[in-house]
Amino acid sequence: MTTPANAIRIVVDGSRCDGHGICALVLPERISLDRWGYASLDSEPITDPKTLARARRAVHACPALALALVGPVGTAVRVRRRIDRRSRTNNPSTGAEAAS
Amino acid sequence: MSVISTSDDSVLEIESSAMAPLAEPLFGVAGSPGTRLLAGPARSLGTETLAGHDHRLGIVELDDVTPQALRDTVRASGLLGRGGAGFPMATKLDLAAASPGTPIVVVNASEGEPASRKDHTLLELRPHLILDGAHVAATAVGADEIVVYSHHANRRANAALLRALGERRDAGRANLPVRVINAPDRYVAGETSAVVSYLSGNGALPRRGAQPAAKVGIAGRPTVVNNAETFAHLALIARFGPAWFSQAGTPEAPGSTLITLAGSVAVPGLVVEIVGPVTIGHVLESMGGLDAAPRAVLLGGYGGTWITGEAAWCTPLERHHLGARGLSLGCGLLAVLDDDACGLVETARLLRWLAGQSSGQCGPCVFGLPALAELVDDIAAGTSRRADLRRLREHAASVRGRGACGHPTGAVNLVESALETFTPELAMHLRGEVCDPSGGPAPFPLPHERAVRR
Repeated sequence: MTTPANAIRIVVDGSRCDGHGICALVLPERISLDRWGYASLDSEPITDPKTLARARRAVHACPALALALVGPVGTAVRVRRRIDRRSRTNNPSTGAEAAS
Repeated sequence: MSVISTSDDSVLEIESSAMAPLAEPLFGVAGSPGTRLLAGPARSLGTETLAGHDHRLGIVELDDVTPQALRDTVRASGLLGRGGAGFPMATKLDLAAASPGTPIVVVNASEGEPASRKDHTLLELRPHLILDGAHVAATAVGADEIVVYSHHANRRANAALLRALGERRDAGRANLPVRVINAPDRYVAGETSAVVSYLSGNGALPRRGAQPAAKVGIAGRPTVVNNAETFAHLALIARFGPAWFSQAGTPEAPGSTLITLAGSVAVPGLVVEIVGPVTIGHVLESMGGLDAAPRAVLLGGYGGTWITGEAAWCTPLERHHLGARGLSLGCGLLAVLDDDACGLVETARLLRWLAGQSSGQCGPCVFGLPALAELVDDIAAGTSRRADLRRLREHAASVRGRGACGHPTGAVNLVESALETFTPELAMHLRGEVCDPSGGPAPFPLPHERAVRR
């Protein structure tokens, strides 16, 4: 495991994914759909700010709430809340938490 | 040559030269000298009573030990969870102790792995060891309740458990309430998050939470869920200390380990405790009654890995070493394929069962496993072509690592290792030359009677 301690990854809760497929349109470089239409993720850390912004959008777009961004173990909720605040205030995402 | 027993009940000396000194035994069954968890009376003598247990091991004094000191002892022992994942016990205890809420301790004795018997056997023969360990864990984290999660089909083990609880009550040793809960019939019901979900009043379904159970578990309380064997080790660590504990095993995975022999062995379901460095071949030879390497061995459970008998024979039966080779000791199952059986047919059978055991939550498992099972069925039936094989490999790769629990990945392990291990058979099956199924060797056990309803 050589992932940096503050790396942010996108993860899916397979038990929630219903195969809507929106995420794969929003974040095609990280998410593909398998032959049954369920999201299959590349969970390598996201470093590129633009990819991170799209990852946030994918998390928001999921109707099943199956996607999440996670930082170091146990920080999933915090990352998510920040996203909520950002999207409400229309703040352009900068990927600041990746650097913090 | 060491002293080992060749059957469940009798201890025999292996007759080598009369001059050979008796070395420390490296493994043994219940009652064999040199064993740790299984030390004490032989299996034929049944459950060890509280009086016998106290006389043999003494009483663990937990009154004047601080939880922190107890956790430090566990940390020093290096004990890893024995359920398959091998998570450090001390880390779990520290997390539970540091998390808000009163912790709860869960002894997972459900042992849903069909051929595995180690937890049943331990609960049946040494219930007080497990209960002692649960009390040690409860003291270490300040828990106020212990739950034993067992399955009703393990009748003898459950009877022994209830008798043991009665003995402790009568002896005035019931310091914490112990609840015994029946685990539902499902392969994945023993998975930690499924256990927590079930004990919180929901279905026994694996969940993928952001928080580990030791932090947020049953009804939000920190929950220490461990396999029964792990607690038994804890009971001995509390008595004899970390230095003694790590004399067995290896520095990376200290302590002894219980394994179950299954399939084409002398006594299927025999539980053997591995104390020192031994090879799989050594154990199969002395405990399984094999005189040569079998065609193949399934290691770690039905979601485990096939390896050829020759490769297995000289492989050390040790968690860390196996892990370095990409194998896993898992629940400790060592299942020997009968030389007359076809590994592909057996794989198809196990895979069909695994597919039926999905809890039905995740797409890749619900759709992926039946698709895999169908493709492997076709191979077993000799109706596949090369293109189907490619499809099977693609399918398998696309299911690996998906889903909320390890179930789909386990099924993929089984399939992929079968394709690797049974290459000659595979070539035959692809040519349409199917094995003769009439040989009828006893296949690996499946709990068909435990039909699953969602």
